[in-house]
Amino acid sequence: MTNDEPEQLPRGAGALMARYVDGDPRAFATLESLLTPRLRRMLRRYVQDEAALDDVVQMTLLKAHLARHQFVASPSDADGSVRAWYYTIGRHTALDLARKSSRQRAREVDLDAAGGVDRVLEDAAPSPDTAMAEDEETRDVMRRVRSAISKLPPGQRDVVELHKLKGMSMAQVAERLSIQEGTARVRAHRAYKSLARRLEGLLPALACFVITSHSLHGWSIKGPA
Amino acid sequence: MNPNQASPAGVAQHAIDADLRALTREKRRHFLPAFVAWVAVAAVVFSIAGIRGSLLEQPWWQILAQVGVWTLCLGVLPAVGLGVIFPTARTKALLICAALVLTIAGSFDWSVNPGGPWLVGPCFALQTVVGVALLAIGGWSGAFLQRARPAAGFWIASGVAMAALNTSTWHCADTTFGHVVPNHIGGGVAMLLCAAILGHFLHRRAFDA
Repeated sequence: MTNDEPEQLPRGAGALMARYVDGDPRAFATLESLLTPRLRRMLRRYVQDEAALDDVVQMTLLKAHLARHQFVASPSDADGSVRAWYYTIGRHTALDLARKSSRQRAREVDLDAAGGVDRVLEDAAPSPDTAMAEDEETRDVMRRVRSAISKLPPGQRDVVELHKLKGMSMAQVAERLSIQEGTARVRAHRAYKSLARRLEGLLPALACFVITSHSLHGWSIKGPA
Repeated sequence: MNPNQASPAGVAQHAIDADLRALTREKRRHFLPAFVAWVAVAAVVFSIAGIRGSLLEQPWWQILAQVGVWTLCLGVLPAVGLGVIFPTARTKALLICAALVLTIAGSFDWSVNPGGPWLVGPCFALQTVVGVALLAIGGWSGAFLQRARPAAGFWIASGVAMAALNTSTWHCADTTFGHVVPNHIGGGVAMLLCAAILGHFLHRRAFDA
């Protein structure tokens, strides 16, 4: 395999995907364990930072989940279709975030040159109705996410806040809280499980949580290799 | 799930897992009334048409086979078709074999008397009535549209056909080949074909739209 060639998935990935689309959680768990390491290796060509890479992988899985009913397997190569589906979503996610990140940096630089915040906001602002609706929806989702986080036990809450909201690595979180890295991971695992339960039926809220948290991470993204 | 693997995909992993499990629970809740209606249809038919007097005079293994057929057609097969349980390919093959063996074992009296006169009669009609009622419940509740693969509807169709067939088996005392093959088995096969065609049509209409 060359560097440019995406890594193959083991035989049977197509069948797993079909069962996952039908709603089988076990099939998803198996597929995810096959996909995640391969996605990470592929996305490393676009994303340098480890925390950012984690976020892109998560966003890829969430985006693919929300769009899973649109997946169509090629009759001749179902396994290849799964690989192409996830890798395409992953690549687009990484590039979208890279673009957003660079636009944000450019906006910050332009701010001084453009003659102040008011002028820039005037140019970039969406219509008041759209902005209000989007704002309301985002606020509502974030309110629910914050409320779910606030109900976590203190130890788990600290880990989530430092890892997800402040973008620290697990090693940094462990150092900050004076605990073992393994303990931090276990707390994170329990916290995510609990959040998923509390936000049941609100998958977009978790997607939003992952997506918004990334913007606080201080990304370092390469262009495509 | 191993906690040490919580990162990198912790949030997404748990969210998707929770979402899939919530969908399964939702399906279970949604189809509970349909399941109750299926059982009610069978109960109403028995209360009107009556259960055969010789039901408990059958050999124990035959009664067991018939109870097995009820379990499969009212519970297991619809659950597979709806995507409430997800057996492996091997288990599915075993389920199909079990359905065939139990249906055949439970339907005949295994005497050498061939019976006769090999004509379609009221039992075929009874099965059609029961099958159509069950099929209507399945169609209206959206049972054929729960899984992406159209072949999944075959499990629901099998449930309908086996329930209709077993209703005849518990109603009709004539267990000779000449009566059972054209009326009971014939009715079951006809119902299986009708249900499978209707399920396929409903699935195509919903998914190709």
